[in-house]
Amino acid sequence: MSEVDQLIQENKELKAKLRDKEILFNHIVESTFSGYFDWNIKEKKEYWSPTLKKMFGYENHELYSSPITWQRLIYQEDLPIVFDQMDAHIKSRGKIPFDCKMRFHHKQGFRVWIFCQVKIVEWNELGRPTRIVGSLTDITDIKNIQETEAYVEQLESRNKELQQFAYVASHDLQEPLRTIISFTEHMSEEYKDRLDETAKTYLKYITGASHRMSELVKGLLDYTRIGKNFKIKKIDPNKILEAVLQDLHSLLENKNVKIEIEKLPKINGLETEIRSVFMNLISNAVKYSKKDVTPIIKIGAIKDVNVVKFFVEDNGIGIEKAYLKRIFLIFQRLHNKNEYEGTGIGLAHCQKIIELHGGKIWAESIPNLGSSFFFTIPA
Amino acid sequence: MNTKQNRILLIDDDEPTNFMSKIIIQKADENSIPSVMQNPKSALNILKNESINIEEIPDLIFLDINMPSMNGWDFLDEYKDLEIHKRKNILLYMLTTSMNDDDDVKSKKYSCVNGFMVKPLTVKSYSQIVNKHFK
Repeated sequence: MSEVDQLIQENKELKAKLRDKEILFNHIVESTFSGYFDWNIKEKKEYWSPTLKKMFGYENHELYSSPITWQRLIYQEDLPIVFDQMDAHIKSRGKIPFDCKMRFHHKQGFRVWIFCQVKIVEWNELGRPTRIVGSLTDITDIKNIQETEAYVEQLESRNKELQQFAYVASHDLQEPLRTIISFTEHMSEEYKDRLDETAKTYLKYITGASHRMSELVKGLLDYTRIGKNFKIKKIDPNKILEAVLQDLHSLLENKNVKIEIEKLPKINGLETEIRSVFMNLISNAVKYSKKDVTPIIKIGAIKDVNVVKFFVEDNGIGIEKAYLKRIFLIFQRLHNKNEYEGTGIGLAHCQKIIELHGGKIWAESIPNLGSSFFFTIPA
Repeated sequence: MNTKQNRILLIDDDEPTNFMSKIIIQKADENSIPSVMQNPKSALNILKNESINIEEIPDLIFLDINMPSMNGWDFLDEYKDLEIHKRKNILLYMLTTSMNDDDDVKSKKYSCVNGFMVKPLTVKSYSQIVNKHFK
């Protein structure tokens, strides 16, 4: 072979090796899911890998590789950080590394968090960079998780604060209340003969209001205590129901209530709290029954794919459609204190408990015919 | 000489409040005649009745906000469209236990509401209304 032929052959082989190396290199880089760029400042040429462009939601042909492009896509508030870090990297001749977390606008409009590492690989005689390569990794998921975790921590701390506040407030409110009640009672007793009718009426109102307030404060305290002992375990609603009906035995007998129960499936939950829910719903069904009709209360459950749906159905006075959601608000009542006693906390209580279990509670009703209360517990 | 009587209607479910409001109103102005309705629905039914005499229609209504079942806002939703407004101009003040900013903004949306007052009614606060509207 002549020298020229040999050189041509060598050239061919080198080109093949180079091509192989390039393919191997691309495989490696693409498989790390990092995008990379190669910026030849001297020749004003920039190369962006397809993976890099994909990070921002663009196909290879949709984005022109240039500094103008990334400066357009980056969040403008993050630009100064990039320039500062780049300056430091250059001035220290590469000793201070450039690694930076920055935000970019995805083609579809949402935010992408990018971790970028850059290296200056060629310098000119004047100490200016002439070639820069860099890798970019999408860390959006990690960042989102971090932000969520931080927010959750904030919420938990706030929640604890509120619980404490409600507890202390309720507790401290009880004391002056007790003073009012006790001294009003003393006054009514000891000054009975010296008080006129108006004064007795005033005292009657004071006592009534104080007792009412005491009930409300106790109810609030109980409400804040819900969920403190968070021990979820397998519980048997049939046994719970049995205990509740036992507790309500005399009430049910007095009002001549008929109870129809279906067998209930076992669930994962908090025993005391679920008991509280049944107690509340059944008491309400009895309380709001029609005066001249035998109260019939039906209790059962429907097992679905992901949840168990319990129901407590009555044939009582019913609830107007407009108020079906309102009744679950704390202290919200539908009737005068004189017609039906109560603090209006019961259903708010139930809602908090059910939501603690990850379920939902709601009511359906036909006024004058009856109401049905449903609640779900995740299976 | 016949001075005009002012018929005051109190719509509030709370008995002690009504008891006191009546005393205050009569103390502040001898020409004011208070009457009480604990159920806003009943009040609406009376106001809807077309055969009601014009002298029986109240001159001023004190409306409590926080009532069970139909509250003050629910009442206003029905009250504002009544025919009775064509026969007589009825003053209406909303009574509340707290000066909640939201409530004030909300009450401005109803043109039939003349104002907003904090409970309890006092001789002083009621006198201000009497001087403003009835003198």
